[in-house]
Amino acid sequence: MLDDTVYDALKQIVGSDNISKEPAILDGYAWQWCNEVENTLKGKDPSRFGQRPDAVLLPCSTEEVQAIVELCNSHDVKYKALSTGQGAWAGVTTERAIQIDLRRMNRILKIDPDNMYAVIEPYVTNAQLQSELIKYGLIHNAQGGGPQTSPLASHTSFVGPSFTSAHTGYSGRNLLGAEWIVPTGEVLQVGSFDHTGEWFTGDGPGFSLRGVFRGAYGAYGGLGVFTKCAIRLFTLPLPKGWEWKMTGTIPDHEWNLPEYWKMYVLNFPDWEKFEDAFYEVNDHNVSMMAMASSAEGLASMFTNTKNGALDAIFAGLLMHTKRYFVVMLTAHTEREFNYRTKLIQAIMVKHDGEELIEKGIVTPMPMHYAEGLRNSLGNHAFRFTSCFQSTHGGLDTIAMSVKICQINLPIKQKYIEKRVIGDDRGEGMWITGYEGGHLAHAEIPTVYDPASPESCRGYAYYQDECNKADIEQALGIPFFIVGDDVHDYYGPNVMNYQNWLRKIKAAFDPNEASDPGHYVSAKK
Amino acid sequence: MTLDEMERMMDSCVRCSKCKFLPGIMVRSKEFSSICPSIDRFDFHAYSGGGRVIMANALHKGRLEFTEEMLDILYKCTNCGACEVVCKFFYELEPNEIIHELKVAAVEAGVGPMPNHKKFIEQVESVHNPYGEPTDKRSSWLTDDIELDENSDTIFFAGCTASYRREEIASASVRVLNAAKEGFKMLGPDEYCCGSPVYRVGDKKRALEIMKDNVEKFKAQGVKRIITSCSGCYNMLKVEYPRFVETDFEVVHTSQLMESLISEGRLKLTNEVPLKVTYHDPCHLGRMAEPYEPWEGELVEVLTLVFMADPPKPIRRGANGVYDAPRNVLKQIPGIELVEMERIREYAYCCGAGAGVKAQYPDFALWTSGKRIDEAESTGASALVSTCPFCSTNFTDQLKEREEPMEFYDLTELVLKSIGGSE
Amino acid sequence: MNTSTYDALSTIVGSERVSDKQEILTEYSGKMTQQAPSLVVWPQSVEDVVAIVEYANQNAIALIPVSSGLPRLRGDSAPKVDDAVIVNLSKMKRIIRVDTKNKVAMIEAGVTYDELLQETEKHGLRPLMPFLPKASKSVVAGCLDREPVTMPRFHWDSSDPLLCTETVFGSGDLFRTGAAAGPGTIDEQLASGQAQKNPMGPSQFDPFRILQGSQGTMGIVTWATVKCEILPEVQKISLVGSDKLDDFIKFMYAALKRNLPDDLFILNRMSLASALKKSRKEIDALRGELPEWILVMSVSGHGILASDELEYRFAEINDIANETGVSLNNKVGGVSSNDVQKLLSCPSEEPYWKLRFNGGCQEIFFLTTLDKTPNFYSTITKIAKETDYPSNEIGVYIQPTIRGSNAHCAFDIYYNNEDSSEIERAKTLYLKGSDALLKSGAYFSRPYGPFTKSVYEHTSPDIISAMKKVKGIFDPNNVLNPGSLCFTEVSK
Repeated sequence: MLDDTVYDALKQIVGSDNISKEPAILDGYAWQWCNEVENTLKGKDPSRFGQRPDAVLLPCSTEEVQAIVELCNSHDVKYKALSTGQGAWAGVTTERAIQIDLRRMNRILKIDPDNMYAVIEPYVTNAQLQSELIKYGLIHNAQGGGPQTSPLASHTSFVGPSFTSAHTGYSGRNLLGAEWIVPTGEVLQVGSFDHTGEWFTGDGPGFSLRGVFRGAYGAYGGLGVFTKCAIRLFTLPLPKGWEWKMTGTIPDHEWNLPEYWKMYVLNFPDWEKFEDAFYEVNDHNVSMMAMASSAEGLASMFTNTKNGALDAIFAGLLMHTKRYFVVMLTAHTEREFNYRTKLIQAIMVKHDGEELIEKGIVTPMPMHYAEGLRNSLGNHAFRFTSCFQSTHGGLDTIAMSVKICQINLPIKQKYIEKRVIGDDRGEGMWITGYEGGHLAHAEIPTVYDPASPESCRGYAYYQDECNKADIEQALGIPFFIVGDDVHDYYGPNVMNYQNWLRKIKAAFDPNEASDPGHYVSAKK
Repeated sequence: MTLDEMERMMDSCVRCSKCKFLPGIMVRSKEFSSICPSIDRFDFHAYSGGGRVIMANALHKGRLEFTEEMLDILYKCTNCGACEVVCKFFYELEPNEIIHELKVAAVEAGVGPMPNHKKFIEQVESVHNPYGEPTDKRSSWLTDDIELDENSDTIFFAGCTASYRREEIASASVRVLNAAKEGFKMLGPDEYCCGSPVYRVGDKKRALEIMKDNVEKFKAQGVKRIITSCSGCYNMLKVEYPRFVETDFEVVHTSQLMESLISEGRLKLTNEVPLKVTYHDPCHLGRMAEPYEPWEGELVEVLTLVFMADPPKPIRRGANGVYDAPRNVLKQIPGIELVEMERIREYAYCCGAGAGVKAQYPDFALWTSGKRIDEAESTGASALVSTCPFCSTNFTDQLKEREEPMEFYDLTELVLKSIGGSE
Repeated sequence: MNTSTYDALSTIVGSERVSDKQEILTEYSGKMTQQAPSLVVWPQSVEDVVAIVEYANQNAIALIPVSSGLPRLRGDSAPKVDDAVIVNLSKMKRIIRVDTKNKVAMIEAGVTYDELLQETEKHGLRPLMPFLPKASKSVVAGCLDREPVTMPRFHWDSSDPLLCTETVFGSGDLFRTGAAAGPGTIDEQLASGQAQKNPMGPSQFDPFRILQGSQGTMGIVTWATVKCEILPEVQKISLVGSDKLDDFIKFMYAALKRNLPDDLFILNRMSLASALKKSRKEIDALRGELPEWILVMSVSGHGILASDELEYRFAEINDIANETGVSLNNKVGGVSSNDVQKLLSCPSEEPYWKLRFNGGCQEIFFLTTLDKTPNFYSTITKIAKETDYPSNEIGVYIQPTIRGSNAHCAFDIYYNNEDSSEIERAKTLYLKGSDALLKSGAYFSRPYGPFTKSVYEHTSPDIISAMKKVKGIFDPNNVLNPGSLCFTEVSK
């Protein structure tokens, strides 16, 4: 528990309206999706309630955050910052810890349409940023967490796949400069801002401090706080004068689909042809979206209700889909559209594919294009049981992504037979390509029942087995390999990287003030 | 449903924060992207729809007890239903229902509602309106020139707010009905509070008594149809009453009635009303106005862990609220130019007054109406139009604070102007 | 240098791979400092490198990793301390693997651009290259230097084209960065379909970004995987000439936004003439014919609809050119597209193009955004005037990077390296010019030479402190290239 003097000192920093130790407030931060998985793996009950923070603070500026961090350092209090905070990794993990809620820091500081970057604060959401960028014909990588989640969190601290990754890449690679409050409280404006007042690069002088604070995955809140960042932007092909219009009513809206936008569902007879086609389409870098899923995924993607998805499944969608991927072509001009269309069709034919939309097997609505952009398309998977999570997550090549899906199948089927996870025949998957097919990752979305302890446990054990398979089969590092115990288990298979993480933690966080629960602690 | 029956729903909350914002695809600007006034104002997660769901769950699981601050958090919610609309885009949760049930639990536990709520409940019990105004003055606004038809089985239900605070709305409404020769009678001093303010703050027991008494009275008076210009009363009578008591009357909002009267040619909109307006969807006429359809059936596991309701269970998403009627009326008034805000229809931003917020937290209510008026102003409209005396009160209170305020009209007032009845 | 060091290193690599001969040591001397190393050692394997680094840690020996040959213009591999040992990886020349499907090559540190070009061509690939690197330039070194590449649309992150590495940190620890770290050995990863493409990680840090730009102060890289692209079947090169740099900017932004061209950069007449001609006389003659600024652009088509692709790309670019008032040509001055094609995707012929005009070259380069480059050019020419340096002899190269989010801007100061007054004048222009540029917003993200000190004086002390923490982790005994960057001392 926080002693009163510490609480009062924190209150002095943010003002009495912006701090609370009321349990009803604190539990709003103790509860997180996937706590049930972490709790299970720690031998506890699969509850979504995790560690309750001792206080929650709402700072409004970098200076306030810095003051909080410094106070924590001098009073042996741990802290973890969150913005929109979706998931267990957003919450505190130890006692005597405070939650720094960055909600009040929500400005878009700059949009530079020529140099294609934006500078944002933590609580700008994906939808908010996209809605402002669209005025310039631009888009950013809005991560799969959804339109209501924070791009700053994704780019500085978390992962980074999205539905538009074929065009907008991976958050971790789109970061330019960042304002990083290191665990001891110094404020670093990493990159060019320190010299020039502009955020156009995050590297140097010399090597890049980006290499310290995030890797394939970010520090998940365990290495200080990010209060600003600059992220790269991408073109969004729109006709001149086009404005976003979403009409109709929930759940079936109508959207004014821009000219020269078209979706394809390219269906291939087997993995080999799928893989070859996926490589070829990605290499040409012509689509806003190029991603693969299962029949069940397709059913949920292009419908708007649970019943709609189930109807699609029971109508026989499974019989029609073999190995498919969705392409969302967008183009700036008719010429570009014609070329891209011709290319997609040529690749499809070359690899013995067929097109499921043309065949009437699925019919995406214009609003699904919009959902692809805003990254709520993946959220459709929640409709089955209000819950899913993904196992695996390894990122390297398209070929490895296919391998992950193939190796996962029998593992998943085992847990499906136990009736603890949703039945997608083991075929559930999501593969997306990045950067002209140079990279790809695969994750396996898995439905489970959050209200059933048995199902939560079942999912947790299934995830654990998937992690083991990734080690045994050399399939990269999955998403949730974080925290001391897990790093100590995984690290020896990966050049003992955890030792280096611990050195970074020791050097930058000597007082262990930054909550290590989803990063590492230095003291092991 | 009780909190216990809602536990499965509460356990399913992802804490995704979608309940704080418009659905992603609806967002057209950062400024008007949020949908929950409570989290907008108070920022801690507990003030969001999902945050209160967690609070309810924590209470139910014994992690929390009712405290003053917890009640404060709970009652700083207008139960506008926006969180539920957005949540239901993806999940099978009913945050608004859960929040309401938590208020019921607070009252049953003897800790709720808040002091000003208790005060107005007493006033409803004693003088049948939450304002504490004399019963016999309820129809003071009704002038002698208004024609009533004592044989009609239709009543015009003015509601407490129109009767005592927004008489111009009540007056305009009946004048429009007269102009269309739509017969109606009034209950006069026998028109009691519909029970909305009592119900919304969680005093379910007293609200049920009010509902029963009113239904008996309507029956005794041979009422088959109720016309009202108050969205709150509309919602209570049409949507909430049938959940708890047997009803035998039709409920029509003046906006719906005016739409059909115009199309039947019984209202002639002849005068120009040169005004650029924007329309605010009252929560209780909009997303909350979808009836609860009773459902009896079973949940069938069609795929492992995935259940379908058999027969299909209607899902209340707010799609079937009254959105088009007021707009259709506006569009037919000559001279009116309707420009829309970004947050409209089922995604309208609450005016800030409902569920006892105006009574207990007037500053917060005013703050919220300020935000909404900012949005109205951003459209370039010179007037804000709505169809609820309670929204009207909160908006006009806010407009008084502004230096160059836009105008505010109830829809009935504009129609009255156009039919030439406002002299 | 202690003879025991010589002996110890000879034991590790074999005596034929260690040298203390003066004529060899002077190759590594700093131009401006004239400080020479004491030994050069040529390891053949990562085991050699590990042993060398361990020895250095035990005996407080300074090591300077080098993998490119002469000429050395920047001073990063010149010793800043006494008795340094050059660890020269230029003899590690294996091209371990080229993978067409995954567009990647795995190469040892000593592989040059020419060697890689020849091998990747056989596999239908081309590497991403800087503009006319010296013939002896190591590809790995170029990647570690964050050398900008000429094709911005393939430059997705500042770190491209560097992917994974095998590295020996200054601590002596062997590590593989990115997906190469595992799980699994490289062979096991290959068996599971991997290709050591993902440069990030492993896990929650990016050691490759710590190696890049570190000028050999963090680790010694023995191999790396590098991004390649499919070799196009068809290509078209266009040139645009103008006497005003501003004339190109709108066009470039629009073309970059659309990811249409491959190569896209600007040279001034001095740079282009130096790149094309071998003697001063020829360079002078050619630059007399050229406009002051030349934009170079290539467009290509590859794969299943190669010609369609080229046609579409070029037509779109042409529309953009029309909209932005730029005229695409096959010839500018006396220079044709064909002439320029020879400069793309190949290293410099001898002599290194930057030395042809006058024998010596002092580089100034920094990062900025494209729109600011004209102002920086004005700044350097102003300082040139103040230092009596003929501004029309400054070579300029402007390269959009990260798909146009920023731009590398380079000014080459040519001087007669046998004339002490010219050397002095060049040095003055370099220091004063760099200072003026820094103060007007140039970002020296890759500081080299004597100006490095000023760059770090301009850097926030907290950033330097953070950098030193990192140094203390990966090279706790400061054996790697001590005195470089901001590492005048190391905090542990």
